[in-house]
Amino acid sequence: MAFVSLSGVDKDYALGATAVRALRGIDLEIARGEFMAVWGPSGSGKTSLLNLIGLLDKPTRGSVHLEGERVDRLPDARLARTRARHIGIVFQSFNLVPVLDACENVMLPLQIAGQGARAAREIALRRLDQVGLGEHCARRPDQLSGGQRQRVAIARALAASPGLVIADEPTANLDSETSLAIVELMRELNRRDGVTFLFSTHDPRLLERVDRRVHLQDGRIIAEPA
Amino acid sequence: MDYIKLGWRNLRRNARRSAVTVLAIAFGYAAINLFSGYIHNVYAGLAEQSIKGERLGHLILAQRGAFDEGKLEPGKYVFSGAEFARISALLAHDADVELVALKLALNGLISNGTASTIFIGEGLDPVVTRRLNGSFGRALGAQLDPARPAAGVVASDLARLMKLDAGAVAVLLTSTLSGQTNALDLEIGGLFNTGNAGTNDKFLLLPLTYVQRLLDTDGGDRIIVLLKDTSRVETARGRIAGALAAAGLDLELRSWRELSAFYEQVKTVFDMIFTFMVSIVLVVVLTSIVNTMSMSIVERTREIGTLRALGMNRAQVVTLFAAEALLLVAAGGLAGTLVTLFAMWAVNRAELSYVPPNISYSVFLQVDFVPDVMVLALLLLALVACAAALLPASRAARLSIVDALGHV
Ligand SMILES: Nc1ncnc2c1ncn2[C@@H]1O[C@H](COP(=O)(O)OP(=O)(O)O)[C@@H](O)[C@H]1O
Ligand SMILES: [Mg+2]
Repeated sequence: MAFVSLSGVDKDYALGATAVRALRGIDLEIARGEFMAVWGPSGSGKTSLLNLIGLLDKPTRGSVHLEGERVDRLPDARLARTRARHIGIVFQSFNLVPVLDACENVMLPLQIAGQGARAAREIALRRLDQVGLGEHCARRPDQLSGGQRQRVAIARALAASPGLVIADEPTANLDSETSLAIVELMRELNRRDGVTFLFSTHDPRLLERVDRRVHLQDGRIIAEPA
Repeated sequence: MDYIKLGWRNLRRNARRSAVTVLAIAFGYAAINLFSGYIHNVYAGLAEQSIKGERLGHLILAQRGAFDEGKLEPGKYVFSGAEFARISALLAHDADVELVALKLALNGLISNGTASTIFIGEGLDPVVTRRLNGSFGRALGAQLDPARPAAGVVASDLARLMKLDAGAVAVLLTSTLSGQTNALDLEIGGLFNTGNAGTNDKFLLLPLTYVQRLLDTDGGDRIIVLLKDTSRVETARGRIAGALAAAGLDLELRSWRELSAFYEQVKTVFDMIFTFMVSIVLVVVLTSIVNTMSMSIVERTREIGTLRALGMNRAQVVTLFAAEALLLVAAGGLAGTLVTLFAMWAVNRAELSYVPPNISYSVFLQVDFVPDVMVLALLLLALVACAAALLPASRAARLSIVDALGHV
């Protein structure tokens, strides 16, 4: 059984009176422990696809299954719980909470899921260590560099030990050297802990480092030449 | 989830905006506290004035029908001396009762030898009067003298009109209970202030035995019951009514508030002003919190999207902002309490005095500390704050996560 599977998925956006067809007939299966990237030109539907897999949005047609359970029709509270347990999200512009320090940001998903502060802090410190920021626990986001912020965001995505981490263009706001380091970090976490990583990018150098690529064009998946 | 910490940090981040809201809450809260403390003091003063100053007592007993029909046939509704002795003995055992006294009211003409005018008056035992008046007695002026059974005290405005001074002799003309015209000399023992502008130009306070002689009776028309504690009026009333009925006495029993129309009028007006003021404060607090929270929520839409993406549900988002609003109220309540205590101290220390409407002497403007109202007002503000946060927060929580995150 696939960890995540999409079948016959369409996504339309209403734009005034017309509909933009962002995704068309997507069939996709992701296995546990994969390290994969979605790529394609701007407007090809990468963000739309990742939002559906990350349970941030619902498909117009078709179905999304997570560990065999259909999740695209769950009510808000169940969906929120599923996200908190199974999915970590990394954003293009980091989206750290500005009033919280690095540790407190990493603690957030744990506390949202109902963990006590002390247990959450221990886990957060471990996660920050894993991304190489063990010393920066008490720093606020505005005291960290872009690369450091994205590392904190990755630590936060991993905090609740989700099976899947989604990252929409996680390196778009970083210089190329830092971008490579971030992808190396994700790769390492994938190898060591078996976390499934799915990120989008249009940087060819990053694409060389993944096991599997999904190529999107005009909302469709294009078969990759082997 | 550490809602309080997150809320507190966000409020501190917008320190100026938060401070303005906290101040609005603080001053509104202090205004409620100070006004309620002031009217509390006024009510207590008026109650004392009625119960002790005007010797109404806490509970007033009369023969059935006397309150409504007593003026028409005064002879029909008197308590004889023997009846009073029996009732007095019955009530003396009650734990709440401080004093039971017989009163006899009269009215007629008072003459100074050259001119005469109407008066109203009441007869009470001089020793009992002192106990009834309590601390009020001396403050109001001259008191009845047990050693001078034919001497009464005159309300100061009446004394001025009739040029009566201590030591003078006047004549009272009235009819006895059986309808005979009767007159008696009255020695003026001194002047006093009734405390009530409506009676200070016509009132005489007289020894009971003198009035009994003038009206040709050995009884009185009211029995006054003074309690040890004003707050126990209703409890005592029920028990006393039961005891009287059990003894086979069919009497009417009223409380001082039922007989003091002035107290009720003042209370109605002040309560109305207070309600009006509380409404205004609540509206001001509501709008300023709605405003603060709306701004904060608009600025933090992306943060809301992020938190939802991390697994927060809608209720948790609303709770987050409700906690922030409650923090505003807590800070405003704390600051407002300090403002209240300081203003209360300053006003009470200043000893500002004024003559209230329909009162015939000046009183100090004092503000009482009324913790019940303060706690209640704070709870009300907290409720309003939650409502104010709920509106914009639930709107933000309903936004789709993708929209909240902002399409990139
Ligand atoms: N909220 C939206 N409303 C309208 N159109 C949208 C919305 N989101 C995406 N689109 C459109 O859907 C298509 C796919 O967009 P997106 O998934 O963001 O692609 P990518 O991430 O590859 O740039 C684009 O044509 C885009 O304009
Ligand atoms: Mg995109």
